[in-house]
Amino acid sequence: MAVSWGLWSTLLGFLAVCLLMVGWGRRGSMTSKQLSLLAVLAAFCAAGRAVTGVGLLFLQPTMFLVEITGFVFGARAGFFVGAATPLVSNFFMGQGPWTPWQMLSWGLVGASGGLLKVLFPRAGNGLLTVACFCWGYLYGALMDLWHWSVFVRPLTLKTYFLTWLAGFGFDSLRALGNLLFCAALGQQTKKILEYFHRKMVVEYVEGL
Amino acid sequence: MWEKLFYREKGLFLQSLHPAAMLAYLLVFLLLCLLYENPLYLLALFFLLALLNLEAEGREAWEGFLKGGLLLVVLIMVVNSLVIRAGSTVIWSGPAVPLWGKLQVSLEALYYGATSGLRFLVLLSLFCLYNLVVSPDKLLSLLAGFAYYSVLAVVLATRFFPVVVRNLLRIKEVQELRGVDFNQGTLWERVQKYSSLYGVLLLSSLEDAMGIAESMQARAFGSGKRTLYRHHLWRPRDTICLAGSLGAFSLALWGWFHGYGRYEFYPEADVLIKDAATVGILLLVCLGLSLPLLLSKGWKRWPFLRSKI
Repeated sequence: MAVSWGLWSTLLGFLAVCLLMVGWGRRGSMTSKQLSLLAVLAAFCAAGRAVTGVGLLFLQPTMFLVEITGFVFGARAGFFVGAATPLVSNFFMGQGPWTPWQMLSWGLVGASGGLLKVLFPRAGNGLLTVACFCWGYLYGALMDLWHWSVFVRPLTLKTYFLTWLAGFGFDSLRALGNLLFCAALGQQTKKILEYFHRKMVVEYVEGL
Repeated sequence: MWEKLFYREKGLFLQSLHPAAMLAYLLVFLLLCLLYENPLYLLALFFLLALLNLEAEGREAWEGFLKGGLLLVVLIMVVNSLVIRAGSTVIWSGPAVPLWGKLQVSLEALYYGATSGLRFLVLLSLFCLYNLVVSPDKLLSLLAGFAYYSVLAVVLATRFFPVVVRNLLRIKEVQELRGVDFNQGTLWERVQKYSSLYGVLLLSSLEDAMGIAESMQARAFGSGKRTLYRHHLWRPRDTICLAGSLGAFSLALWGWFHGYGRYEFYPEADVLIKDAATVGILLLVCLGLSLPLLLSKGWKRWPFLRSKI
């Protein structure tokens, strides 16, 4: 085979994620509150992914939290919390060549939350739940793209479909888990995050 | 399971390398494993990585990785052999499936699937080694010069990860002392109990985040231009390992452009060893890549070498 697609797709994911993370840290300055809040949210998501990811396989109370983070704090924050989730949890569960693509996919989940906020500023928990459900499948499809490009030949639509079909059960479990968790805990989470979002901005009043 | 996977300082030679040298070495492995298609070359990489994992005292972790990967290897083989029709040696033809065509398994497709599986095992072993020898702290401090905010946030998150897990257990214990039994009740009741746990944990974690922010502020975070202090030593061993990996990589690239390490599976699989140069180049590449392994062996047994590197 003349072109090693596995090599290129992995490298591309790696480069993209490096550029995005470096760019994320370079643009503008951040206050200590923003920084620590995002870091702790990322740690919380990573812990949720690792603690339940091992026992319950794919029912993780995490993806909806990333989505809501993006919705409340904006796309940039959502991307970071999403991308850091697999990175941090993989420090404990095992890093692999899959990490960059996982980071990209999770980052997209968070960024899509910010997009939802722009499109539907007054969206309730229902819309977020539907989005989380869709992301359960979309995340699987994105990760299958990497898996397919590295391990399957020839690279045709048919083989991709078969790869996707092989993971369909897991994807459905993930989507269902997202649906349940977001429906049960979404409202409460959104309230808590909005409270801290208000608390994050400090205004110094002159001459008080 | 995590304790075995997570990096632990064991005072090994491989852990004492400069993070940049170690990363370059692992990166060369990664590139070669994705570049090579020849099963012989992949097998050699796998063998070398097995030795390295054992040298890093990671037998248990490595076995865990391989056991977890076997299922995926089988999946890769099945998908490959069912889908690919390019092989000319058909060993099984099945019934026709609507919309799909005739089911057919060829020897070449099976062979390719097995090679892909082997590549997956090489990748797993490589990352197992990474987890054993690269300390996340060292890695992140190496990167801190490039992307300060991202790295600081990731470091904070990594630091906070065990705290969140510990808090979860603590809150659960407190609830249990107050009479909440997490193992009793219908499914819905249990879900309610756990969701209250979740809310408390999220709130207290975010409150902690505010505390961290205040303490960062008190330590003059963001008050002016930041200074950078590096404390990793670059020793002769790092130069040797870097030279070994760069040498191996350039030789491998040269060989790749002259056809060594390439392999055609379809329509009929190539001969495994075409000529003596195929083996020769492989041996030289492996020699370059095994320098850290050799140094590690010598470092343990030969005090003179230990004092020099």
